Amino acid sequence: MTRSAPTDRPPDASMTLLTSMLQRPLDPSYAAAADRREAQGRPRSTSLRSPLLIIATVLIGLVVGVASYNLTTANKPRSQARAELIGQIQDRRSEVDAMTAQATTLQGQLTDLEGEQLGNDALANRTRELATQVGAVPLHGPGFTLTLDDAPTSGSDAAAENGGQADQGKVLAKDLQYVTNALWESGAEAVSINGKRLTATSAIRFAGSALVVDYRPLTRPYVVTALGDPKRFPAAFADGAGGTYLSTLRNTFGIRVDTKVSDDLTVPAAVGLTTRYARSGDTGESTPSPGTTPSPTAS
Amino acid sequence: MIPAIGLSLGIIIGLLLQPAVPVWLQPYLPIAVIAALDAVFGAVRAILDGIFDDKVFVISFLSNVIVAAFIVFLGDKLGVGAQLSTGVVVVLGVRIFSNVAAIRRHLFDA
Repeated sequence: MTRSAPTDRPPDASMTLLTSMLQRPLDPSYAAAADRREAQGRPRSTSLRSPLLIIATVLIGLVVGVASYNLTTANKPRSQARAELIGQIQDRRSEVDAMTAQATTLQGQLTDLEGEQLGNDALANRTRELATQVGAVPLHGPGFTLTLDDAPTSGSDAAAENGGQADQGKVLAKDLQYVTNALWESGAEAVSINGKRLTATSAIRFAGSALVVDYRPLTRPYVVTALGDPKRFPAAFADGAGGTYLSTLRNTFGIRVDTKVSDDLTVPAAVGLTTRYARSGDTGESTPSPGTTPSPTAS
Repeated sequence: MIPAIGLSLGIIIGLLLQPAVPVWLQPYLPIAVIAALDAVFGAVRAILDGIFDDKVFVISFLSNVIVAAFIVFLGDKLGVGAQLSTGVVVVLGVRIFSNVAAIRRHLFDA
């Protein structure tokens, strides 16, 4: 403090609150008590062994301990519930998978039995033909697979936290809808996405941030399998609106698209091909005839 | 040394007993911890200055906790609880920092 102020006013007068807070943080009562004791002829500082002090320190330690325990374990029930819910989801999902497999097996048996019962007449042929078309039986044949995956950057958690930005490189329900429509348009005869056969009643949509096909959430990468004429179909798709759309997705949003033509691909049968309210009306019968629906309701 | 033992004893008891703090009290816990830290560092500085007084220490701790809790309670009632909590933390934090600076000067001459 060698510099003298030009006026009486100290240079930091406008910051008295800050200076007093920074320069005298200690309770002035300590100094006052020390002065008082000195005036009475006792030492300026009291002993550190007084019972009052010990009680107070134990109390402070207790506050710190209780607070650290309570504040660090505050999230415990929440994370427990979360883990429980995740477990339930996985259980249910594997249950659904098992039942889907069972349904597929039963449907296959049903188709076989129907074929045996009906013999080889015109009605049986018509049943088989319809079953093929509506997706009640697994099909195989030439075609190609389209593998769509999110852009490399958007899959990470860091990108997901950026909110809207993360959606830029993600495969959306809209993309899959467009691609499947373009596949049908260019002559696909059967289409499945990640092993889910698309039928006339299939829906591709968004639920939250998950892509849902026929009420089953899918995980990336999305593999679209399409069967069709090996000579015409892949070229028709690539030259048509679908190919243009995919190249836009690839170039603009960085979505990874992989096309693979194959001579023999398999598309599984659709599960749950039941109509609950719609009935066939051409014969006027109350029960649908086996020829018009391949569902097990008739038997 | 004895106060340090008392402090660690309290922390150990708190961690071992794991008492459940009622929900309405939980917003005050961080404030109480900050106020307690302020009192402790003030006491350490007073010891090094040679002017420690146990009654002043106890009263400053209790009044710190009570006033800080009251400010937060009032802020909750007025709808500015978070802002007033921040204010309390800032004021006590500044005091803790400058007390620690004084302690550092005492111990290391730096």
